[in-house]
Amino acid sequence: MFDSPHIQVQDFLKLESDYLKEISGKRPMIGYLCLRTPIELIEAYGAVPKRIVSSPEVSTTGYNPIRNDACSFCRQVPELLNPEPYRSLSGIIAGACCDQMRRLVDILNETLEIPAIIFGAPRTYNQDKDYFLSEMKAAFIRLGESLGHEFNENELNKAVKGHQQLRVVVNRKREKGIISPPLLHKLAGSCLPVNRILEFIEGLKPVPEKQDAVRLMLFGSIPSGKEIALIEEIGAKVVSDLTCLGDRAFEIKDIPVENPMEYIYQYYIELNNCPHRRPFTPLIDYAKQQIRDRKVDGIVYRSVKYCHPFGLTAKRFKEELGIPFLQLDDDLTLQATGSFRTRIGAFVEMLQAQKRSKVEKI
Amino acid sequence: MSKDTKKHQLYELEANPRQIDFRTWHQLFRKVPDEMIENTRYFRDIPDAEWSQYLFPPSTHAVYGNRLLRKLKFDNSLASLRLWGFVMSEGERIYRAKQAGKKVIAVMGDLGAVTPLVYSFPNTVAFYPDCLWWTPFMMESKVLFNEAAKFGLGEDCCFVRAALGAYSKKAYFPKPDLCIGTVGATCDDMNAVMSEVEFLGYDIHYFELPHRHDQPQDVNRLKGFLTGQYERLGAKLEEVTGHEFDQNRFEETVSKVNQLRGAISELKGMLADSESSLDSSVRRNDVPNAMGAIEMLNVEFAPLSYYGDLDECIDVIEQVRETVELRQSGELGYPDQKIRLVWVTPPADPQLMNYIESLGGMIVGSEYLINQTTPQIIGGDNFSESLAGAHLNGSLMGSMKYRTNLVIDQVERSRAEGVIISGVFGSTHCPYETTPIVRAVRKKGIPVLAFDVVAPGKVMMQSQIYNRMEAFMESLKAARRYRDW
Repeated sequence: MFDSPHIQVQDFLKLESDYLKEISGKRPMIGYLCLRTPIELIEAYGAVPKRIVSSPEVSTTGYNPIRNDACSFCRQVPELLNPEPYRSLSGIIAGACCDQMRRLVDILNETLEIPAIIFGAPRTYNQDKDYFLSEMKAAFIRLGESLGHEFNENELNKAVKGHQQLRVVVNRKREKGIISPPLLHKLAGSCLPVNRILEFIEGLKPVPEKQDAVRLMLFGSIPSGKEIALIEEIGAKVVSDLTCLGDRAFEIKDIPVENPMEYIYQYYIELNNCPHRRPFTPLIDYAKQQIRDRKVDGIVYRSVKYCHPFGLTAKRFKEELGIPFLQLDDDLTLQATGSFRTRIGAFVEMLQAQKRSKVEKI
Repeated sequence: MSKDTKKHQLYELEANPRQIDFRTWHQLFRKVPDEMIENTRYFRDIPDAEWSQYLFPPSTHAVYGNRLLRKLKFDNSLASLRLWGFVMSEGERIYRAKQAGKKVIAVMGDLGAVTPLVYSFPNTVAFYPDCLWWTPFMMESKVLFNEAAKFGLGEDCCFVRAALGAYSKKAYFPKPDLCIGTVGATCDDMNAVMSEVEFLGYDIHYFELPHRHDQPQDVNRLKGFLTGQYERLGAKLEEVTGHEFDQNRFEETVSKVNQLRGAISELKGMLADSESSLDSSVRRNDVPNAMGAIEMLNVEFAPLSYYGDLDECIDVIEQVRETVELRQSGELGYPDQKIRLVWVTPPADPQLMNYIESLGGMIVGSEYLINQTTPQIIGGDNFSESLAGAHLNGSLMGSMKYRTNLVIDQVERSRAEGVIISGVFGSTHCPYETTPIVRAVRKKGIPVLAFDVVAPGKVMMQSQIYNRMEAFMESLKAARRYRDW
């Protein structure tokens, strides 16, 4: 028996929606941006973490304090926060990753009634850990004060272990083809507690697999949710998802967990691979590893318009990764979907033709 | 400069302030005494360096490819001639430095904060690759932008991408002995440039600049962190230059840097305060503009790298200050430039400044993203702490509110009648900062004109900016007439 990726996602969204109703008015929900924000700490302050993700349904054509030559995702955020579920947020927190994210939080802080907090995170590696750890702690203390909640160490320990277990399970199920790429995005952005996600995952059946399908890697800026559906609609398969809502969100890193705060720092701050880090060769190496392990035929590299970390490094990734590479940029609107579908279609056809010619030669 | 030369008060050059084109300078240059030409040199520490003369008319630099000079208007003072010569000879100077055995250090992304430390090491000069952003404008050429585009840095990246083109071309500056790259709470466009520069094989020492929250409790921790960054940089410079850090030499350098910063601050103050006291209540200015906006831009950018020679740079800037002082004491200046303006964010295209001046504007204040180069460095036993303390004033590293307040300070201090914001399309800070700054300035009742500088060659778009400038200046003049009435 198989699950359809579509059904997996629908079931999960239903579960999440029920949970949001359950906690409404009882527990505060904190929106967070970027992979550098430790969700365990949000949980340790008794709040529910909810990743702020883009949506092609939200328009950016209305009045916006951010100009249209800013990153399309950052520009979308002020408008994303108007409808539910983000309307119910009690605060926003983010680690300073790229310069635009830093400025986005600054804008939110000026325009929202809820606190929008940013904490410094290093661009380079092996920096003064004490400073950045204290930056992170200070930000969460501010968040706790705004919520009127105190830090709970037991909750932190529980959250660290829980998320670590979740990462292991997600990776195992991904390898077995049980978690579909669209579901992976939803898991990465979910506000559900770990135990409920685990329970949901345990009940999943493998998704049908087309053996000769072109194997793609999705790479680039934060996805809008439509990319994977379009790729799979065309008949290709996303075997590796290196966007920040994909496999990178569940990356297993070899870090001891004896000291939870130390673990969090290492996981989210020090060993976070993103092209905004300098140098970003660890991310190139990680992508190369994924290409080998998952037998990737080609890369769909999609950067959000005016996203500097991904947009300005596209050519570098293309050269370093050395396999067929389709570069697209996207302003996160529905209108962009048509050209996206056409170009992916052509790319997949090209890869299919290459595959066929290889088989014929054999 | 000898006393005799200083006494040489040529009417055209000293007592009749006006803006002239490169042809007029070419003619006037005949009146510049030979002795002055011979004695205007850089690297005075190198004996018998006759190659280091730099007092040439702008036409010389136009011949060498800076074609925009043919279209610009220059201040007609000797101080300005010297300033232009000094600025335009920076590229040559860095090559000469390398030939003379000096260490050449590229500083990127910090906008002048780390340079005092670089100059504290003997036989070492700094240059600022980010400033190559105006080369495509000065040369009216897209060569550097096209080269950067080969690496994937196209029009959605700030004009600083020209620096990547220059690194790749290997013809605009010698190979640096060290590249220092500041990353973190600074613009990501330059960060992308640095990354590609690293892939080209250059060794970059990264200087981490964390976000400043602009809350009182934040400052000490941040200063402590920056102190650590300066210590690491000091150690790297020791390794590259082969010289141990010397506290005495550092103090001597800081004293010179403070002298330079002080002169610039005074100069800015003279222009900001240049209003007739009788008319201050109605924002009426009858004191003419005593120095051109582009010259002042060159002055304000001097602390970024001292244009490769700190000692000479101080002399050049002080001569400009003396000229302005002299003009103001005689109530001399350019005719018909009376509308007081603050300029926000430096324009990569200097012609825009000339244009606003030709419409009757005078730039009496500015916020060029380089506030970190303005404070006096407070000396002490620990060099890193001294530099970290000054670095905390950075324009870009903190909140938008901080920078907005810097703009408001300039507007209030200079009693400006209007503000011009020249942004950069696709940069990481302009799309976020422009609206808050515009709102804050308008709240003060001051009109604002905000536009993005367009790349060289885009004549149609450029003409739209000119149209907007004309309309803006017309409205400011009308407002002035209304107030007078």
